[in-house]
Amino acid sequence: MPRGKKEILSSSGSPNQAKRLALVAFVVAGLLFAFDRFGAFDALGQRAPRQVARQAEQPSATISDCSFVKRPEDYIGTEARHRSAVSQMTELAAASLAGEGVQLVPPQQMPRKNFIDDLIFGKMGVAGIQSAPLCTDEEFLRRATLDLTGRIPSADDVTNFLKDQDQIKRDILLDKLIYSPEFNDKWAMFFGDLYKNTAFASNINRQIGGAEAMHKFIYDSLVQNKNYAQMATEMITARGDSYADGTVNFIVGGNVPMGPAQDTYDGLAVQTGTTFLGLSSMDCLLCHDGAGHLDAVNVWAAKTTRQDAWGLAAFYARTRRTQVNVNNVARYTVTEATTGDYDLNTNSGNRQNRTPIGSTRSIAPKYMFGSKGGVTTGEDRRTALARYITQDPQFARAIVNYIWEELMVEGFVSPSNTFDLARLSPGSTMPDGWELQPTNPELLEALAQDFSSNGFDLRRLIKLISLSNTYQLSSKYPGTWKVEYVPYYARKYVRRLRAEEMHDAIVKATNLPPVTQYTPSGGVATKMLGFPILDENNVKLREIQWAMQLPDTAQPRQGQLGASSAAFLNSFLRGNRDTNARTGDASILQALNMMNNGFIQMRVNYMANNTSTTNVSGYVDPIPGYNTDKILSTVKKLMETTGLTNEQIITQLYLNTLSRNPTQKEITKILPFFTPASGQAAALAKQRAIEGIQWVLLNKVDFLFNY
Amino acid sequence: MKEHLQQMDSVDHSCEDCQTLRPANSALFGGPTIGRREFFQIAGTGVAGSFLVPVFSKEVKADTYAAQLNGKARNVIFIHMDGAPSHTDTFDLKVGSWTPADFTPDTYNGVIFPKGLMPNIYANLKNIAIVRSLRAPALVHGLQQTWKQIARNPTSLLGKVAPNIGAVVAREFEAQRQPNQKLPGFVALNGGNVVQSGYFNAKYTPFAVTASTNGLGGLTNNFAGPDDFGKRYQLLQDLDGENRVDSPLGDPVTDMDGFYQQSRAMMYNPEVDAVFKFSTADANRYGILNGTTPTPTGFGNSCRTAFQLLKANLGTRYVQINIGGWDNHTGIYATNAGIYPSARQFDSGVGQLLNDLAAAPGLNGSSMLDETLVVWMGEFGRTVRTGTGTAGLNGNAGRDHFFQHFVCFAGGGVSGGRAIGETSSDGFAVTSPGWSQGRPVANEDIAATIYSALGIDYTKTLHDDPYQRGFEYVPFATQGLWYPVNEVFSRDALPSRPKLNPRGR
Repeated sequence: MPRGKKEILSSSGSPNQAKRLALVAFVVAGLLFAFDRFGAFDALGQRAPRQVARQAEQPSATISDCSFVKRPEDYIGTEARHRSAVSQMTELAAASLAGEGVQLVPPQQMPRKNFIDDLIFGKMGVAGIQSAPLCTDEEFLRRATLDLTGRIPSADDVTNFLKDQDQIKRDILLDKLIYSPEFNDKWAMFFGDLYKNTAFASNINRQIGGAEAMHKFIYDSLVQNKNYAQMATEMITARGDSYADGTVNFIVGGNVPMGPAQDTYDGLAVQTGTTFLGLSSMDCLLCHDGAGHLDAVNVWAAKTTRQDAWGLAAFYARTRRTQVNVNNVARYTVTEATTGDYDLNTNSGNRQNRTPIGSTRSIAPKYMFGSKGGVTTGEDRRTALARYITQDPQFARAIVNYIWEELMVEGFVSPSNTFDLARLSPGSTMPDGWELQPTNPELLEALAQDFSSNGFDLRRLIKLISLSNTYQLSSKYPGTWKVEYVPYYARKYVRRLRAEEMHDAIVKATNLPPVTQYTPSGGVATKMLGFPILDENNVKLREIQWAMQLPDTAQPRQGQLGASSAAFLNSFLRGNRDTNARTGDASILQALNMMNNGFIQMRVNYMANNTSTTNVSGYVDPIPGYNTDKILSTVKKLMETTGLTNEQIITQLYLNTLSRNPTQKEITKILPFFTPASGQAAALAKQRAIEGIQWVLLNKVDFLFNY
Repeated sequence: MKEHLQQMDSVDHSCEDCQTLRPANSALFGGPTIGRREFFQIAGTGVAGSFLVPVFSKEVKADTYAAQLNGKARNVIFIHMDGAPSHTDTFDLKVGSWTPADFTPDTYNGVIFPKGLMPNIYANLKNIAIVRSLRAPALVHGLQQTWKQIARNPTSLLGKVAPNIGAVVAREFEAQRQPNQKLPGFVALNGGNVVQSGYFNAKYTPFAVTASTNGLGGLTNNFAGPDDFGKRYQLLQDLDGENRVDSPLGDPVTDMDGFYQQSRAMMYNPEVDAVFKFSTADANRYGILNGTTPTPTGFGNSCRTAFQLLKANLGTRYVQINIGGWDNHTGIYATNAGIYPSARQFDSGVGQLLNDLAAAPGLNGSSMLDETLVVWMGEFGRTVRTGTGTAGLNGNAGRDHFFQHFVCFAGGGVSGGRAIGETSSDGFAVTSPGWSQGRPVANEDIAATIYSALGIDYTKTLHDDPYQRGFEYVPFATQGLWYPVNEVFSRDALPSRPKLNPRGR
């Protein structure tokens, strides 16, 4: 038995309890050894026995849904895995991309657009790594349009951009994209993921009304280009009705059922720490001290105690949520009480017991980072917390890292919510065997500084990154590429199109949006482009036309209008913003869907746009015969436009689908497709060729990836 | 581990009690002893090793254990009872005042079983070997679910990239694939937490589909006939270049195209199409009787599909099926709730699966059951002693998470009608391990048993993992740390612990 049991005895008093706690300590020792044995011994291969003793001082174990134990891969080794995946995927996609004759560039010769380039190419130069060349205009247009607005450019966008002779046309394009309405759609999806906005979560159902309200809050904030610190403040201090005020749903989402109120205060602290500070280890620390658990994971967390973490949770100890049901659907009201404390008096629930520490029976709010400040007179607790959070340099670092990862595929800190506060600045003293965590600490710091000293302006940050030549490098690397180069950003990394991007890119390339028919209860059926957002009673709240405008990855709901789009979206693993994160993994099912799903077939086939449903195999999307004048699919339009040469048809399909011109080599390979088979009518041969090429381009590597 | 804590809080036993639960001299729950010297020797061989400081690469010079293989099975159906079923209410039944009357406990060949709860399984006990000396290393659903699918601690370095056992099996059998065998080697049915192919090529990724009488969608392109489709596919290959098919950059790079190739091979193939379709009568038979109306279940459909997949012999060798609903923290015996819905679905699905496998001729003259190993287990067991509620139950009339549990094997050379290992009268601890190693059985031993049944050398190490540490099929098996429960294959007296078989490296 570890010796620590004496301390337990003195604080708890009861011999029986001491026995139990001692047993717990024993279990922990066993688990510790398990960790040691399988992965976490230190640099010298020595297990530190004192960890066991220290652990016993704060008895603990993990809970049934401890996120660390449940998905340790979220914490350990993911950085290397992600790097390797990014590297391999980029190699794959780049190998299949058109374009030849590009050469590596010495980083010293790379023109610098802003301080990002200074810090990236400077570091690359010191390391002696060559840079990829800058990407072409076609590549830049598609990349930036996808990243900033979630859509692919139209054929006209491509030809106009290529024609444009302006020296700063890329700069101008970025401004256009950043101030487009689509920008708000895309980043509302991004923040919806970050804030885990979903109507139906395992810990609480915000309901569709709540998820809608939260989406509206995010969307409106983006439209207004709200100061990001203000946005965070509004969420942390939210009060009111969850359907009327979207911010309230941030607080609602922190709910932890089946336990005492302290579990929810902890849940809110975890959510705040993870979302706004990138510190997912808060979840561990609210169960137990970091020592003995996180030593191999996070230097900062390893020396942080559960008591420190309670100080953060205590800011939420006066947050109250009440539920009212309207038509059997829940909505919530969040208020701030004037009394109430974080008491150390629990012996059940989702986290281990909270027992008095000496004579301390409740924990006062205390910001556990930096300032260690508390609540000032006259200030309510959450207002104080919002003040501390938004003034914390880590607040800016966290969001800068999230957005850098979104645009650059690989975060400075990866996974992006696993910051180690003890390994951020070059001056840090760290235990042996540890190195600085961010791949480019100076740049992370400079971006965070720029962000916070310029009004926490998200558009400015996004523009700054996408304007840099670092962002504008080619994903091709005509030389020997090594996974060790990944942290240097010596080329642009690729990513698969996200579910919504894929859906919308297919719709945009083929020019066939989904069409649905909605019949209100006792009313008249109406058809619409896109799909309706329906509430729990199937009453239409609004209509949307693009998947990127969905408020929630649970929409469109199963068995409801738009469900065929939803099944297609789900196969691209958009996650549920709760237990399953969005992933960029591929699968056979995706390949089958891209080749044969009705969603694709309908958009490739010439007949699908006509009135006949005979060969549609039950597919009702889009509804045949609906506004055929208005919706003319790319395939149908090319069939019905006279005077086009086969080469022109190919070019048009390329521009619509891949946002680029075909190479001469590609045209040569495709042209034989138009040759009629023996006895085949010329018109049918042409139709089959156009359909076939459309299908091929939708399945091509440079359609499936943002490269 | 909340439930674990509750267990500890409510059970008033001392540390001395706990010591008795441990294998002798073991510092790790459920794991065998390993000395410090051996520890650092094997630290470099693969699974161990710090992810921070990859410095251990010492050659292992110690004597090694050769694999002991049974090798009678060619397929595996692995059924994951998601949520952790109560061992003392199912396959390690302990009858007490709490036991509902409709469990109607009965014995077969000395093995006590809740005949009333699972009549079809009871009727099949002659084919089933129950291992009751199984201990889980963790009481967290996700961790233990992953652990048992990859045969190693998921928090270990290779745990991050380790393939599912099914992916290893698919890869091992890839060389046996015949030209007409178009189906993926590894199929996963009925959802759940399915570990993928790890660092292996994506063609070994479980093909996760939904089983239904209508079969699988997307196997044909309704507009383009097979010929047109073939032309399109060829053009796609031409345009994306050789890299799409045969990349000079290595396996991971061809992964994306691997999915396309596999999908393509399954299309326009009536044989493949038929594998996924079955009659409503079959769906009802594998489903459950709800009152007098037979109700198809997702699990039953999956069991039927698994049978057809293996019977068709189109390349699928490993099928994983999930059945949820076992996490009975509250009201475990509630009428038509608690454990009942899962137990009934399970009983009907697995019962019919075993019946059909036994009735179908196999490839080698015996029955399909003889050449198909069917394995089922939860991720851990459930509490047997708590202080507050009805005897044996917690305050919510349920059972919480607990280390002790069971694993069952049937078919594939298994000698059934037996229970291996014994637990204390309340099911709290192992009293007799009942197998050659004289310690409780662990996840890794089950993996070794599966490999043994298939004749796959579980001591094998592949040297193609991204960390270049070597991927051991069963970690430390060459050091004799884990071992197959070969007792499930034989009624004979227990073999003694195998001798050291020095073969060096």
